[in-house]
Amino acid sequence: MNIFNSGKYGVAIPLTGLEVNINGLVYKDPICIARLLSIHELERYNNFDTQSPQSMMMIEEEIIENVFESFLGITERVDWGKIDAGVISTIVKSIIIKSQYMIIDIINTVENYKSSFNVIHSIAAIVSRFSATPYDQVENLPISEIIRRYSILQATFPEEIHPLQAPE
Amino acid sequence: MNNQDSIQDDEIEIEEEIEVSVYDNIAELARELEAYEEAPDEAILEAWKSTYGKFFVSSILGDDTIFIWRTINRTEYKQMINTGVAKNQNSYEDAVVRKCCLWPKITGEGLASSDAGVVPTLSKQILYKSGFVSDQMALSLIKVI
Repeated sequence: MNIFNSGKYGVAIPLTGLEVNINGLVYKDPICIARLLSIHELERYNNFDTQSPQSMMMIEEEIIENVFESFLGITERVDWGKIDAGVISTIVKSIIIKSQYMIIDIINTVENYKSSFNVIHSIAAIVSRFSATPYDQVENLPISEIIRRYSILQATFPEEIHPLQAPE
Repeated sequence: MNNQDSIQDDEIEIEEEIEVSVYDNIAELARELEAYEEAPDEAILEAWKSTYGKFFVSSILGDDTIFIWRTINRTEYKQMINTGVAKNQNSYEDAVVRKCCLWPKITGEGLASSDAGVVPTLSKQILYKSGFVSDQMALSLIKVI
């Protein structure tokens, strides 16, 4: 796992301003790579008692087990018992709030995603649909291969896939 | 809102108001501490550094009264929470300070006779440096990649 392939579908949580004790070494501003909650996990979380410190502590540890991927640059398994106590709480809190926030503000979330896409993502979606290949598999292909497949599809199905046009 | 949340609410303010230093230069700190009675010497400071990885020095009122403390780890925190101490904010703050303050040695008598704001403020500093942050700060940290 490295900086290019960690955190796919995920989030980065830079623990800015903290010197964190991880496996006996102190790291300044470590970056946690994790993922947001699934719909099912969020629904489960909403059903739990989060007021009691004991139950919240247990929930935090269950969630971190599910969503944590790595601290950037640290390859060994993290000893959660020895880490600074609030690190788990902060990571989990960030993940829960962000997951909830994306749903609450879903229109803006969708618009923000739209603005971050460009034509290559649309081409990948077309390749995915017309070659019955899952989108995430297409997304992992080298750019050249995505464009090559698109060219084949466009030449083969000109009625359905219109040629690209240069912007006016 | 539980005690932990209320303690964390103003951690950003704490950071701005109070100098909290993490000491890497042990010798320099040891020299500064020579002015204090029964202060730890360089060997003790080195031992703390080796045991805890890092420790902090802070003052509450910006005066000469300083505290040397460490952060609390998850195992210690779990043990503390499982005693039920977090149900009462004062007890929780006392427990955090007793557990983490390295110098001066905190006694029950010392806690009772200290200025009212010392323990709450010190526990906020300890919890903040142990990684507990407010909801607002937690949300500001996270980035979708």
